[in-house]
Amino acid sequence: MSSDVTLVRDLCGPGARQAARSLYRSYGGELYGFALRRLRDEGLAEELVQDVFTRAWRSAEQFEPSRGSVRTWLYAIARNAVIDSERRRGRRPPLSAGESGFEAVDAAEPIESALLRYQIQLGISRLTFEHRQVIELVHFRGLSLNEIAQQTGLALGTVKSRLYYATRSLRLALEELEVIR
Amino acid sequence: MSRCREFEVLLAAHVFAALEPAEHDALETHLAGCAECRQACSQLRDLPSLLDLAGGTEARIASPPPLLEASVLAAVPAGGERRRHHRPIPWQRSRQGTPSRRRGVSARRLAPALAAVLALVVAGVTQWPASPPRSVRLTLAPSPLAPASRAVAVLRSRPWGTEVDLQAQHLAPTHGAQIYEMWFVSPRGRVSAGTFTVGTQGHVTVTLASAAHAGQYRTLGVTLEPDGLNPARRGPNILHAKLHA
Repeated sequence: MSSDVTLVRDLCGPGARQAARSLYRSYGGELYGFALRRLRDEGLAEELVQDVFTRAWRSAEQFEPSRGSVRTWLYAIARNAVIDSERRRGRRPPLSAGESGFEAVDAAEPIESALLRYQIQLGISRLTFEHRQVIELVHFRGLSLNEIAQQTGLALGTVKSRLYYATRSLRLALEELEVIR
Repeated sequence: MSRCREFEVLLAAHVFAALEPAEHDALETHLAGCAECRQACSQLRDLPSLLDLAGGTEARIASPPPLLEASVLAAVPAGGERRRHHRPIPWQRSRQGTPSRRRGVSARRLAPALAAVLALVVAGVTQWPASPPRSVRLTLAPSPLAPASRAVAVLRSRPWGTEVDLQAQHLAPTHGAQIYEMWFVSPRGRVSAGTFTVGTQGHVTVTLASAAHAGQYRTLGVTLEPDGLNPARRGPNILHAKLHA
């Protein structure tokens, strides 16, 4: 994380573009995913990501590591940019899920809640298929370990250890995303 | 310690309430006497409620378009210079045509700047401070020789010519002496903006420079030169875009 702080510092100097490139490659994808989830418009989502990095570059001098991580800072900028974008869009309602091809999203959901939900989903998406599957079966479908073993054809001991490593991986992913500490 | 290892693997199933009654009771007994396993268990306890917020494990996480990076970087000067003079570039404006909201600037804060400008005028100074480089973003159209290729170029006007950030995809990899070359083209001739090669991935991100001032040329093109060491041999057009003065 300290390298991210250095990159933000570099935004203020001659290495600004290289620093912006590195920050974009670390965070641009997930910020775009959040923007698209919230705005449900690919063009607006792209504009928003550009806006986030432009704002970050402009305000890099004010970044204070003691107040939070670079990720927290960028997401705070993104949150404000989303609010501005939604205000500009005004009364025009976003496309419904069927029209846009995106997942149904509650447009009235407070942005903090939407952001947390997105980050958890992002953490889950970083798991392997096998780990996501065992979590889906045990938590969302309520199967016992024996039932999972029967359904998947795995040995019971394998199911136990797979669930254990899946939860550890999920916890690590959520720690990296700063959802939990 | 081996006893802990035996129970550790059950902790996840425990927080998801998926253990059989006998295993559940045995684990509870162990946890009552083992601070280390209680600590490990407490680290997993939040996960079920967080998963409830996610609503499932199948949510789609979108990936950004590959060319977005070039657009983002176009807003950041290579040297980070002229921070105070930076203004939004055209494609950063909202698609509804609404300008970006700007921070309010009070007349009191503007007063020193106005005074400085007036002083320059009164003193007969005619050279204004350098303005930020004008940037233009172009999407390059593929030729029939490379129908799948996609590219975007960001042109930045400089005192010495034009700087071009090119990001392209699905170009044929170069082999041997082959090179790609970018050109500014006018009815009177063409000026090179630089050359590059492409690896097996077919993707390239490169910054090129030309003495050409884009406003004096009609077309920006990329050719595939068969022999980079022999400028007499000219290769076919691969990408092109019209330039507007």
